[in-house]
Amino acid sequence: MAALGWLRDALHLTDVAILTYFLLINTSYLVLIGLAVIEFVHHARRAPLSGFDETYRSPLTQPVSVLVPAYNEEAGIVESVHAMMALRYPVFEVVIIDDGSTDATFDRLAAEFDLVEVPRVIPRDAPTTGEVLSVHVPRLRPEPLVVVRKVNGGKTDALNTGINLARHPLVCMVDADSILDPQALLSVAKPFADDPLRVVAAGGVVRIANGCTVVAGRIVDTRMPRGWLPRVQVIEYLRAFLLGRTGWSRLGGLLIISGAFGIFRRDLLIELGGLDHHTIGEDAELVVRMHRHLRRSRRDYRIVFVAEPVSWSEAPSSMRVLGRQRRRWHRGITEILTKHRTAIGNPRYGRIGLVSLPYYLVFELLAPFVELAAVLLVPLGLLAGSIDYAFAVRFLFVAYGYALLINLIALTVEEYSFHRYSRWSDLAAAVAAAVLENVGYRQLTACWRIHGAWSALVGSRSVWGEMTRTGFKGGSPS
Amino acid sequence: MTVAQIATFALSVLISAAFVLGMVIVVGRALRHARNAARARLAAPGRRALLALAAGDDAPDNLDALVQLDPAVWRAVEPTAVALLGKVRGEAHAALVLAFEQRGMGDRALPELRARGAIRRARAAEVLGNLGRADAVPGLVYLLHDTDRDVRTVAARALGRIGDPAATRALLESLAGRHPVPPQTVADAVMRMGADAQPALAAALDHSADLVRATAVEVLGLIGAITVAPRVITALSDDQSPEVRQRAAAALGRLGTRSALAPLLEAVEPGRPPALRATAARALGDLGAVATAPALGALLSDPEHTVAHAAAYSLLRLGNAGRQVLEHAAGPGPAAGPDPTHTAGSAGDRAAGYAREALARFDLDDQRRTGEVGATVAPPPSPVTDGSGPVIGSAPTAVGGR
Repeated sequence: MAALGWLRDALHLTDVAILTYFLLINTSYLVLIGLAVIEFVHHARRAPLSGFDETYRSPLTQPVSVLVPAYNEEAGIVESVHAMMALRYPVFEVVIIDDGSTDATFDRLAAEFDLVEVPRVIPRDAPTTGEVLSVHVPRLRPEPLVVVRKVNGGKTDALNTGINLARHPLVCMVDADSILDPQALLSVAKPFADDPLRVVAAGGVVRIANGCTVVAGRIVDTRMPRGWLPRVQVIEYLRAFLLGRTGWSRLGGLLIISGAFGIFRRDLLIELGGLDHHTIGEDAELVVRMHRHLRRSRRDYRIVFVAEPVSWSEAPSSMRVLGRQRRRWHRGITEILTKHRTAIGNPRYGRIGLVSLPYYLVFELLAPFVELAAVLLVPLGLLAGSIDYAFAVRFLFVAYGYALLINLIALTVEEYSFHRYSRWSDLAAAVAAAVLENVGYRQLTACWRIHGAWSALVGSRSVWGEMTRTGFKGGSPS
Repeated sequence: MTVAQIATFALSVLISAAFVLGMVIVVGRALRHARNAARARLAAPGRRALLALAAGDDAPDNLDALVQLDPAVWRAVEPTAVALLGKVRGEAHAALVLAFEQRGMGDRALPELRARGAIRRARAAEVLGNLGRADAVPGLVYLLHDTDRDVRTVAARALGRIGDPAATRALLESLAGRHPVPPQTVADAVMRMGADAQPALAAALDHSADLVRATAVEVLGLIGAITVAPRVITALSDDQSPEVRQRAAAALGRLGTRSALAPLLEAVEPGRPPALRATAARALGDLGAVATAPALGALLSDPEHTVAHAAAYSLLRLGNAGRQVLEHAAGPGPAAGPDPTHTAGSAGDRAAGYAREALARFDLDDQRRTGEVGATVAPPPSPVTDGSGPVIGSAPTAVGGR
């Protein structure tokens, strides 16, 4: 009986701890959204004064190398490259790194752009493992396109090869399935012109392209996706990527710049030794390492997030691909926090060490464990009689009701800031998706994320984040 | 309060908040749609006249129509008008300026430069810059030290659009101090002032702040200030800041004076910062002096990738003399050439790699100019990783025609 009593007490305490955790995590989202709102208001009032036309015409605007790692991207690669070529920016080049694709990725590019092989001396500024096989450029067309074929070595290796090939002082990393808004490069590179001595990296927002109409490599009509899985991801991206990262940027503690759309100073990337081959979340790891390096060398710097315009990416529309993506993401977070554990809580790294990294440890890395613990322990507590029905109801409201409220607040902010989804039907779908995220989706992703963390801890082999793409169809919803 | 009561309270708060947020979204969206529709309706007559003026139709009717627009209609059309004013040039711009002035926009904007709100000050600066109001220069110069960064930036941009060289010194000074203006904005603004800005730019080369000197020397190159070339040469040779020296090298390339030859050749010598050497090598290509071909040829085997790469492309710009040096360095074609797996990393092989890359680029550019596809000589062998050196040995050229 004493043992049973002890178990009941333990269950009760655990359930209260879990409840407190959910309260705190959702409050942290609320704070980040609040900071993002301040940023958006600032942005909206000053957007007409941004002077993009001057930046576009200026001979002093820093040229950019757009790096696009590609692995089995035959479905949408041509469309993506066309969109990138049409970007509004004074001087830039697009470097496609075909990382040993086994499909027709290269053949499609070669046919579309009439590629010809050229000799190229490639410096070994950033470490690479996969041998470069050949470098290609368009034969007659004047597009600033470079396609490099290499032996498969992973996304990190592809990006490091791209850094070596890049000729310009700024490098922008973009996913092969991304479609950039025409103004995206001007916008994401602008912080470098505004504050050239301090800005070392800038991240752009990534939104979901499923459901949108794409014409000639441009998103011409923004709609909610048809399937519920990508619909829920729209809400997730909105809350976590757009609002969350804007909030972190405002705090000066941005830790993640998505590999799908981020721009960096090339000299600093080389100084850092490129991206880390041993981490699967190479984009986030790079930013953490950048922070640590610059803080250690006592340099005044800024890493910023640009909320608009955006890069559009195809989100997983099947459970299998989504699961793979989430396992990879969480594995990345686990590896980064393990690798940089000495910086967590370390005052030497300022708000990165004292706020951002501890936050990611508690509210990102541990979140799926707590999520699943809640699913298991609350019913167990009810059965064991350690918690009563009223507590369980309260738990439900705090854990899921509060989260739903956060989603609705995020939707409201979107509605008043960028209002990308103009149809009433899209709004209804978004509200429904905001509810659905908390019922099943979160719990499912928690399982995948725990699996990812486990893979990092046992050190199983990391692989390219291959996605199954359907590609963007011209003139019709993708 | 019991637990059950707390739960009930939480539920009511949640439902109320969700309802309020839902209403906020729905009402906000409905209002926005209605407002946009009303604005579009209201702006329609003004937009027609505005777009006609912007398209170059400066018929008096269009101008009169804009000037006589009802204030409410003008408010609806004004954002488009301001955007167009910043985009159009020539007669269309002059006609729009006239319309703005006749509506009293310029006169109203002048006192707004000292408004309390930063956005109002910035908007006023933007309008005055677009209208080219010379009488706004003192007010705009004052705003270069505004506490708000956007106001400072817009003021600098406006000064550039007005183009009064008297503001050059203030613009350059605004690069230093507690509230600086972005250097690119200052450089763009000063460039628009043209040759009359030269004295102030030359004087700025003695400024104590590195950023002021670096910006000044860069702009001197971009505006082609040949008469100031000796002073730029001094900056290349003597300035304490590597950044200033590097930009001086680039400027000398753009200026294209023969007197720059010796200092640039000196700047590419080993021992200087790699970035300076690479820039100087590029500048030698800009100069196009055949006499530099041997020096550039020697740089092809430089261990610094940026230097060797710049030298190769500069040689291309020297015409036949440069091509001969490149062809000599490239050696025989791939079919008869040495196996790169054994020679990658040696100085000769590095030089050959850069030379072949540059020559292939030349052939490609040639094909693009003529629109003809050259015959492919042979498929290039795979590039070989050089484990010892800083470069990967590249494949010889695949493109025929040379």
